[in-house]
Amino acid sequence: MKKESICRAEQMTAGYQGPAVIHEVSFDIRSGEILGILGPNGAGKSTIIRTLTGLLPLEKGSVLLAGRDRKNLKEKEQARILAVVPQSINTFFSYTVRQMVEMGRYPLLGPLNPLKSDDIRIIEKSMKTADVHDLSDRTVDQLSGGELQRVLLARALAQDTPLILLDEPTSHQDLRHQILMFNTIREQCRHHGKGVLCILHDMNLAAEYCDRLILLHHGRIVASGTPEEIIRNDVIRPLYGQEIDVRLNPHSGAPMIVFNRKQSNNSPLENQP
Amino acid sequence: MKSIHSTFLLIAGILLICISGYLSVSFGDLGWITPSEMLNILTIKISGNSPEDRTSSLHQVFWTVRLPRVFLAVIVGANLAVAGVLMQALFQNPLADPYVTGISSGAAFGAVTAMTLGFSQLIGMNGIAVCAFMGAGATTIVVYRISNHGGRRNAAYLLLTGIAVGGLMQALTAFLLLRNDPYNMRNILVWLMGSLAYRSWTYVWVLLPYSLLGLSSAFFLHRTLNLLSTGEESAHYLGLSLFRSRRILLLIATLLTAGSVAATGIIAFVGLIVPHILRILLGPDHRGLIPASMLLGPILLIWADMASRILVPGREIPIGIVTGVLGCLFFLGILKARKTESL
Repeated sequence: MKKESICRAEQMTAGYQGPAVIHEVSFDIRSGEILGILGPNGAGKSTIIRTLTGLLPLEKGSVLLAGRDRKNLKEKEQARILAVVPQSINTFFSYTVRQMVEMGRYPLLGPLNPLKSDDIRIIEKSMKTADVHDLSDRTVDQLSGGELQRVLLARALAQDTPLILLDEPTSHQDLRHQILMFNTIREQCRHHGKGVLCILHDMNLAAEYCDRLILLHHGRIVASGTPEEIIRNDVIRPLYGQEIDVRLNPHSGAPMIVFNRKQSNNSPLENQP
Repeated sequence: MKSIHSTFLLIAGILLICISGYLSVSFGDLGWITPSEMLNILTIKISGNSPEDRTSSLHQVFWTVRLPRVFLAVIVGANLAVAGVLMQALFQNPLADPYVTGISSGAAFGAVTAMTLGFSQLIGMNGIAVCAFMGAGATTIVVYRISNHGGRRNAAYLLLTGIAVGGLMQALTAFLLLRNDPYNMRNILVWLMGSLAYRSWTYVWVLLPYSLLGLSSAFFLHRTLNLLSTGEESAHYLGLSLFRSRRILLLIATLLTAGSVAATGIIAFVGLIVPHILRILLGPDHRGLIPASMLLGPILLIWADMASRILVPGREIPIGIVTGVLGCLFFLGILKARKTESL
């Protein structure tokens, strides 16, 4: 069955009041699929999320969300299509975890409409799925970085959108929660038909969970394909300047990298486009 | 359970305003008005009979001096407290309030301009209110733009910008003062210090529409304020139009501040003290914070007004001095509590 495209970026070029950070980036995010974005630091990965959501204006190209040009969508309409899990947020006041997750329902409510029983059920379920239900009365300033990331995932799940964008969702997670988070994300794709774009640094997680990968360097896509096509020494080494040894995960058969510190390259990276 | 809790707090708040208001109208230069005398005054007003000697003067003072004063305290207290809540969410900083951000000084500059140019004689209180609104609006925009450091609201920048722009507005106000004759200069100076004294019903009626508009709009914005308090990027991801929300909040906060300054002069720190106490008691959710500020702001201002009449025997001091001292202690307390964090 052909998977439906929820988000299509075409020739997307954008930057921060200066030279463009991403150049002519094109990709599709399809329902029921996880698209992973890999790339060295400063490659423009987070800029892709900011541009897709309209935080950064497009200098060139277009973004289609659920078949509609993003420019024609109101903010609330957009928030009903896509949810974002940022790496972290700065809350200025001490909201409880429950209050934070409740905010995920705001795009679906009128200014004075109270939360209905359906909303509360979704909020409870989202907190349980993201393993933050036990923290529901804690304030966000009492949480660790990993707990806060899971609260942001719960908020995105409460938003109940067909598309979720995640910016390094496991950067603060312990091993158990890295696996829990990605199992949750995969479950959302497989059983709820959501499309997911996920920015990652961990290539083993990317190979294990993503259906397709994009490799970004200096704001341009330099390779894209299945994990088997991307997680290869001849593709990774030129970008990271690091030899990798690719094996197969004995449990899943996905590519898995093993690094050799004796082959570690400490010299600066070449400035290749 | 939650709704019972909210209803209880609402009733308690309204009761406290009534008790505070009763105490405030009960005492003054003519001595205490006992409950039976107050009942008598109300009966006379309703029946339309003419009052007797002591009752006559009490009747006069009650209706023309003490009651408008309490009503003004209620309206201005609610305005300034809610303006503080809006600014703290807008600037994403618990230290922001109309005074700290220089907005009150901008409103005062506008109002003094109107008084100096004689607008107040031409079009009355409305002229002062409109000029105060223009002064406050211009200051808000300047402070907001400059404190937006590298795309982020920076607390230290906000405070420094507020101090700088507020200082400029005070300097310009002082310059305008010198253009007035000594009698006017004294009146404007007393007005600048913030006072509820000698305010007739006219002030109440002029201020009321601005306040009703601002306060009722703020009531509908609790979700906008919650989202903004989690950061602008996060608010955008949850469907908030930053462009529209910022402008609406600036407009309402400016309206509430300017109206209040035009009626009573600068009464500092109410917008800092009230939200801070309420966040400790109720948490940061603006669904409760906005209505609670509409209740605690008036209570604070009624008691500050009573203190301004009691603290110096035989003489009334401007209420701005009382809230200034309270706010200073509060401000230092907040800074001390946050000393380990960066501003």
